[in-house]
Amino acid sequence: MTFDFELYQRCLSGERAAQEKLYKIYAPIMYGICLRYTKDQDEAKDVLQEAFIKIFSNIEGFRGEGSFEGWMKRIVINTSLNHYYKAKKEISDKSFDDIKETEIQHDDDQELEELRFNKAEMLEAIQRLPDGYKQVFNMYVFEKYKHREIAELLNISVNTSKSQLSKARTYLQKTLIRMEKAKKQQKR
Amino acid sequence: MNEDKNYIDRIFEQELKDFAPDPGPELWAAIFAGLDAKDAAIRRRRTIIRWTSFSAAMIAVAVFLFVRSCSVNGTDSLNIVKKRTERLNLNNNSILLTANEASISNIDSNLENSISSEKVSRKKHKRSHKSSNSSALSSTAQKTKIEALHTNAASQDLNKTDGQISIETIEYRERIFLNKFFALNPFQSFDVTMDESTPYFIFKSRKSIGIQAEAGAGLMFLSVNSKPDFQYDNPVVVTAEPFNSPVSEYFLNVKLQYSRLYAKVGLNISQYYQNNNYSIPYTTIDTSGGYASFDLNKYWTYDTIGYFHDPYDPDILYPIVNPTYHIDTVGSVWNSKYVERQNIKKTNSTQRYHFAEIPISLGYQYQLGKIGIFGDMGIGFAFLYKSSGYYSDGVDYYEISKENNPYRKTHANLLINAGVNYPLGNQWNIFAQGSLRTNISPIYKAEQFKDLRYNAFGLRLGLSYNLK
Repeated sequence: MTFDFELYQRCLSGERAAQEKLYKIYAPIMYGICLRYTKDQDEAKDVLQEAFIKIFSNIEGFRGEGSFEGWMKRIVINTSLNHYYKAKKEISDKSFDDIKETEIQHDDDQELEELRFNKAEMLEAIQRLPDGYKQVFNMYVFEKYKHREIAELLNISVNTSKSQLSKARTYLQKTLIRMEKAKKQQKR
Repeated sequence: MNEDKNYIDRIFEQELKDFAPDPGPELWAAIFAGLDAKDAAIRRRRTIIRWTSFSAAMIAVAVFLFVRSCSVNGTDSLNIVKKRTERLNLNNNSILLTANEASISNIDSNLENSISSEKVSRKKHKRSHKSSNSSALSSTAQKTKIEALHTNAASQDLNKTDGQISIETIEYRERIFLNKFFALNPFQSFDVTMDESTPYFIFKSRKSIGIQAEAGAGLMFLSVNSKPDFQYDNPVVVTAEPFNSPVSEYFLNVKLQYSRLYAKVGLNISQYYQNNNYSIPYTTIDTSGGYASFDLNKYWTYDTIGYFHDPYDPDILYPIVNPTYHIDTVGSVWNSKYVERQNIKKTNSTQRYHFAEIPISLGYQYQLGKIGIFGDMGIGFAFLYKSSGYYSDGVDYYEISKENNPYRKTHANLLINAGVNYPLGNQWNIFAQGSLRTNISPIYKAEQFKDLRYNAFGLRLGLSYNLK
């Protein structure tokens, strides 16, 4: 996506019409990110709203280093993480080390390559992940962060990051297989 | 297994990398509202910071002036006095030096005179034959020498007196200078004397500061200083006359004066009276139009809408018809129009609003004989502490209460005063001043009138008392 400098300048001066245009351009991409980091659409919309208010309020913070889209993505991801930590304070939630291995049910092994899933199903699988797994998996797979960076951002150790990623993969694999089984049972 | 994990990464990335669903149109409205709320909060914070800084600066200036004028032994006063004293001492020294040089030259000349007298007497002694004569001559020489020494002493005394006179002259000039310097203060004159125990002057009394308490009352009239942002139901409101309502006020201030400058802080209690039957004229413009038609035929048709049964003649049914008038038109044209109507909206209200205001001002006073001419400017923080009454515009009726009223709880004003004062004896002064108070921040709640502000012009009369 090409960077519209004029639109950026208009947003910088606080012009609402320009902000709306910018929102319309980038909202779907950012909403996709929010959906990956949250549990459902309502939570994702809350995060997206907060993130866009931050973006427009601090738009002068973009100094042209890197892409504008990347800058926005970082704000959205940070907002998602903050949202998680804020929620964690209010309700006790399963975090990185809280999930016991026994909770990950080991179904029969099945060749995953044979199965085909659509986007909604895969998103649902990610949303079902415990928060700790979800964050590490998203940051590693989609945002291409290194384990060292993830560890710094999430304030965990590098080994924890690695183990969370491993567990997330296993969890996703089992979830997808389970979803496939459920689909088959519905067809019968 | 490891390959499976990589495969997991890959399939998720492939499927969801460019996943961009539409969040729906309602989210922008929420973001828009959030941005507006944030902007408003930022504006409010900036306004508070701006006015707090301004107030702090004014208070700092007032405190600085106060401390400066109070510090008899303060650094600034001492520095001024020390500098002038050093200059004075230099002058004195040079004068004394001149006097001493003159004295030394007198001594030298007297000594020379005595020596020459002695030489003459010795010559006379050689010429004489009698020793008695020589002693007599010698005593004459001694007398001349003593006279010379007396003359020397007298000349020294004279010189010393001249030096003292010089010092007194300089002292006098110094006193005149300082009196002139501090006579700018209209409250007091100054008495400056030399303190011999210290190398510089001190002021015997703290008379460089004036503190006054002033109280009085004023009457002002309100006018609107921004275009009203309200509209009536009619098409367009072109004009809406601003109303004028009186404001009475009482005030009590403490005035701290240093030289010609003064700072003022106090309390104003104002009552806004709005108890008039307003007839607010406004103009509406109707630009709507209508079709004018050209008629071809005008005729009636009669439609049977029922039957009437006559009980005396059961075999006959009488039809009931409905006549309808018809016009066949061959064409029509749109007639636009521009109609201005003058309207009057009548309102009936009895409203009282009580504001307490803390004014902080800085001013300047110029003394023209006994009459002082002054002007000051500052800001006031006003609080609405009481409101009562009702408002009716013929359709709706509103009770005014502390909660239900159109004004904000707080607002800030710019205050400008200019006037004259006149002393009524040693302590009392009377003053009259013209006042302008204009709202810096909106006085109305945003949901009432957006950004509607008032100007208040008026006259104040009061008395002031010199506390110091």
